[in-house]
Amino acid sequence: MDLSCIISSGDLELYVLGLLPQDEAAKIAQLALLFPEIQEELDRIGETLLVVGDTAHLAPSPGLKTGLMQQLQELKAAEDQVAAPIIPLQTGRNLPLEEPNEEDGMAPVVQMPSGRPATRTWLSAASFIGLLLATGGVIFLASQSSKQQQALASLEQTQSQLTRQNVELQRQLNNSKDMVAMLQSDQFRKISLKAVPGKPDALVQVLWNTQTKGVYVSNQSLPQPPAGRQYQLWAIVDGKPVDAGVLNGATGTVQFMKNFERAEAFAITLERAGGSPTPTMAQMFVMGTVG
Amino acid sequence: MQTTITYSETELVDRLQAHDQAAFSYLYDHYSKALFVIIYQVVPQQELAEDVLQEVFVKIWQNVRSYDATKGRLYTWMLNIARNSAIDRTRSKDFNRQAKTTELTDNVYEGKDGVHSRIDDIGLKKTIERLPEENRRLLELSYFQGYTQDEIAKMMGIPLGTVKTRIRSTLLQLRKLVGTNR
Repeated sequence: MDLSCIISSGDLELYVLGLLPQDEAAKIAQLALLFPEIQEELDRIGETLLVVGDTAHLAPSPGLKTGLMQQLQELKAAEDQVAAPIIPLQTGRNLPLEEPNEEDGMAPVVQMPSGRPATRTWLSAASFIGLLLATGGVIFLASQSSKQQQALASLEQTQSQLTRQNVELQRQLNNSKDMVAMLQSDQFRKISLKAVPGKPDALVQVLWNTQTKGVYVSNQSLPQPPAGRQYQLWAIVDGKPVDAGVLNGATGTVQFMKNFERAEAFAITLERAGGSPTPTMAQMFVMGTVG
Repeated sequence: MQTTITYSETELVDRLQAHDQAAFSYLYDHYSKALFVIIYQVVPQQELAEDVLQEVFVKIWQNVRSYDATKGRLYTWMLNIARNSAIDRTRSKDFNRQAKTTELTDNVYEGKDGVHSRIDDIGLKKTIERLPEENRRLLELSYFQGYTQDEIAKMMGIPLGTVKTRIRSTLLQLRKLVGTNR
């Protein structure tokens, strides 16, 4: 392609000035992506215009930037606040725009006075038809607009769902990364806890940092505890169970519990929320000895 | 150029779209003056023009995520926001200097002296006084006022096709004057 022809056409200048029609502007933008020479020329044109602006003795007062940056910071803060606690958006249902009621729209028109001269009747009939058409039009437009509103609301809902999913996936990913790092590290001793007879199979590991003595629980598949209940970890030290904290995280997470200098075994029981001073032996789910 | 960091345009756009404060600060340092000059052309009052400028940056913040690089350059996009916001402001109730705007438009239409005074007004004289009169006027109409090719052709009484080539030759001359012709 002969680029000099495009460069000398004057289109690039118009493009930077924002004076090209949209379809032509899109063409130039595409060419700029394909050919660095075009991009370079556009850069120079833009730069020239910027420099021209800069030579003016006019300028916004120096304080303006501070105020503006502060305003942007507030916008950002508001944005973050919206992003952090995930509030389910229920925009789909309670839109202010209601489906127009056909009967309401026509009620005053139906009452046609009787015994009028023929022309009057004809006129009222005509105006009635006119009104009917107009009402129909309004209803049609309103329903179109309401459809669009609904479409928009459902898009918004989808977007908020995606954002929520994204946040959740991020959390899981970070967690998995932590876990992989722990599993690969020589610093961690891994103790697999096995299901006790009569309890469902579950994959639970205790990761014990041999240097800091920190004990972590990686809960991969304990059943979801019923409401008002929580799993509690116990370290068996000198044959006696010692509280090692309750599990907060959902399955698939790694949680730091407590530091232990020594222990012969670890076990998890289901207790009332907040934990118990002593374990309920009948509610023991998994257990593993430190080999 | 107050900052030492420089961004490529795509990098800058990415950061702006992430609402990165530093990127907006950079944007302000590099583009606020040029945008201000554009705004001032339409709203020739320091305070009002500053108000519009602030509004323009907030609009950039709010809309940058829908900015599409395949449809135009960032600078062009911002230029259009600035022009449109300024024009919107002249239509609003609190803009009580309509006389001045009318005067400005009249000047543009009647040509000659009008353009001179306007450009002197914002201190661009030194930069562009060496351009031929016609070209100066063309720059005023196309860059500072954002008139369309059609309108410019009518105002200056030249064929539509000529507008394009003249704008190009004007900007080429300007490039030599401001030394961006590497």
